[in-house]
Amino acid sequence: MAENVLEVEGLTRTFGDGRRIVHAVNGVDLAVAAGETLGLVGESGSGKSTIGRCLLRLIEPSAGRIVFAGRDLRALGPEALRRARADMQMVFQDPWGSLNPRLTVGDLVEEPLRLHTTLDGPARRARVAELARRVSLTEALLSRFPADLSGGQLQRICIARAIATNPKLVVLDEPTSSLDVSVRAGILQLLAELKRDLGIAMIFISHDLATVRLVSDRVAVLYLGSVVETGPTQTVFEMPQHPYTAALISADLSSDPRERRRRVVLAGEVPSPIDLPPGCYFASRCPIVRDECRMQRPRLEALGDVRVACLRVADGTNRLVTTSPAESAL
Amino acid sequence: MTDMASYRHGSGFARLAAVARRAPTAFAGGTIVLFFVAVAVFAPLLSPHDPLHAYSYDVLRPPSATHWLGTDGNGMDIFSRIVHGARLAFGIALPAVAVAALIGVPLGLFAGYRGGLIDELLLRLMDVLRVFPSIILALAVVAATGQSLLNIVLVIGLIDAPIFARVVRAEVLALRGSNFVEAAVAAGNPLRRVLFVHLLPNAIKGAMAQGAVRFAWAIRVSATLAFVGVGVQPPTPEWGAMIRQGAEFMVTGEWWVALFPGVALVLLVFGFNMLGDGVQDWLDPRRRTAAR
Repeated sequence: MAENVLEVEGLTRTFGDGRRIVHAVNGVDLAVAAGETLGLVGESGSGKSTIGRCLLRLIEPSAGRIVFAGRDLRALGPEALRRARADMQMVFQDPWGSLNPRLTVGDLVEEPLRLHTTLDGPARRARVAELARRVSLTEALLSRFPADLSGGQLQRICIARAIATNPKLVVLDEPTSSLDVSVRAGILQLLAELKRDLGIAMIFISHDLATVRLVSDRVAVLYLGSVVETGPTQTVFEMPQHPYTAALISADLSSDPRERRRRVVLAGEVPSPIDLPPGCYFASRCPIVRDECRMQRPRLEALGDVRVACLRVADGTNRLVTTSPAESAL
Repeated sequence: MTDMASYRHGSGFARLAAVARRAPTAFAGGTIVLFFVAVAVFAPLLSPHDPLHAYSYDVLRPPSATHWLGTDGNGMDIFSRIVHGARLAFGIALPAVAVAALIGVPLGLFAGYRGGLIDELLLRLMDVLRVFPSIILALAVVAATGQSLLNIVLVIGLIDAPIFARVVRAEVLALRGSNFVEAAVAAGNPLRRVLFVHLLPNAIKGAMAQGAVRFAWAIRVSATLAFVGVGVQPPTPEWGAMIRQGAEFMVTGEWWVALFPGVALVLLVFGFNMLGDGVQDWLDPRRRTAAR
C-alpha cells in the first residue's frame, strides 16, 4: 500500500456526563492511502458522522491516535491545527446550511485561499474562477448569495471551497444524500473527476451502499461506532464476510428487477450506545450468533485482503450466504 | 474584513423602498429620527436666536412671532434651545450607544460561542443589573463619579453593554450549532474570523433593532439625569434640564417652558422606539403584523 495520508488507531468518542455516557465511537482503526477513497458505511447512529468530525478534530476525540500526513493531529495546538486544515477539508451533508448566507459564494470559495495562502487579491480571484470552472459552474454565479443557488450548485461550491487549497484529504459527510437523484449523479461524476485529476484522498461517508460502491476504493462497515469489516470495495460487496455486512448488502435493492436475492432480514434490537453489551455489539441481531459472541468482543482480524471482526471467522462459519437456508432465513 | 464585499451587488435605494413597504412602523420611526438628526445637524441655521442669550426684558414670554415657542425663566429662546438640545441628545446618546455596542457585541459573540466562564459571568452580571432599575443605577453612578459629559456617556454605555451582549449571545447560541459555523472552523478560520465574519453578520439583526431602542433609553436617561440635576447642567440647552426648569413654572401658568422640550423628548424617544419595534417585527416573521 502507498504511503498513508491518514492513520487512525483506537479512535473513541463518548458524549454525556459521568452518569449517562453515550459511546458514539468505540475504538475505530482506519487508514487512508494517498489518493484513495475510503467509504464509511453504516446505519444512522453507527457513528459515521462523528468519526468524520473527529478525524478533522471538529469534535475532539475522547481517545485514540490520529496521524495525518505524518503528524500526530491530536498533539497540535489551536493555531497549528488551524494551519493543518489547509490540507484536510470537509464537505457537509446540507449544502444550504453549510454556507454562510451573508457572504457571496465567490467570497466563500475564496475564503480558504485568504486563510491559507499568500496569494494577493487578483491571484485569488483567478484561482476562484479556475475552481468555478473545475466544478462546472459559471463565473457569473460567484457574485450571488447562497440563497440564489440550487442545492446541486451549492454542493459544487462547497466542493470548490474544500479543494481550493489542494488538500491531501477531503472528508465528505453524506455529500449527496440531501440532493435530488438527478443532481446526485452530477456530483458523483465531479468527485470521480477530482479524484482522477487531483489525486485527493477522500473519506466518503454514506448510508447509501450503491453510492459508496461507486466511488470508493475501499470500504469500512460500521456498526455501533466500531468497524466490523473493512477491505477493497469489490471484495467486500461481492463476498461479505461479516454477517452484518451481508445483511446490509442484501437489504439494498438491485438495479436488475429479475435478480432474486436471498434477503437477510435482521431481527432483534440494536443495543443502546449508553449501555453496550460486553460481547460482540451485533450479537443481539446476528442470525448466526453463538454463546461465545455474547461474552467475547471480536477484534478485526485479517482474512485475505479484508479485515473482519467476527468470532466465527476462526472456524470459517461466518459467511451468511454460504450457511444453510435454515440459518439465514432468520 | 471590508473587502469581503467585493462580490456584492444591488442598490441600497431599492432596499430602502422595500423597507418602507414591508415595515411601515420602522419607516415612520426612522423618519422621525432622521428629522431630528437633520434638526441637530442644521441647528445653527434653524434657530432664530442664540440658545444661550438671555433676553432679560423678555423673561417667561408666551409663544409669539419673535419667540416662536416663548422664552424660559432666563429669557432664553425656547425654540432655539430645543433645536440645539437635539444636538446634545444625539451627542450623548450616539457615543453612549456606541460604547455599549462596542463592549457588548464582542462580549456576547464570545460568550455565546464559547460558553464557559465568560458566559457564566455575563449571565450573573445581567442578573445583577436586573436587580437595580437601570435609571436609578445610572443616577447613582453619575452622582458618585462626577457629572462631566464624558462620565455620563461612559456610564450610560457601560450599563447598556450587557443588554447588547445578551441579545447577541442569544442569537449566537442559536447559530452556534449551524453547519456554516462548523464549516467555517473546518475551513481553517481563526476564532476572530469565525466570530466577526461568520457569526456577527448573522447575529446582528436583533442587536440592531435593540440599538434603536437603546438610543431611546440613552436619551431618556440623559434627560432624566439632567432633570434630577445630576446630568448636564443649565444653562446648557438640554431637554431634561429645560423640563426641570419648566416644571417650576407649571404651577404659575407658564406651561410652554416645560411642554415644548417635553414634546421634543417624547417625540424622539417615540421615534426610536417605533424604529426598534418596527425593525424587530420586520425581522421576526412571527411578529410581523402588516401584510406584505
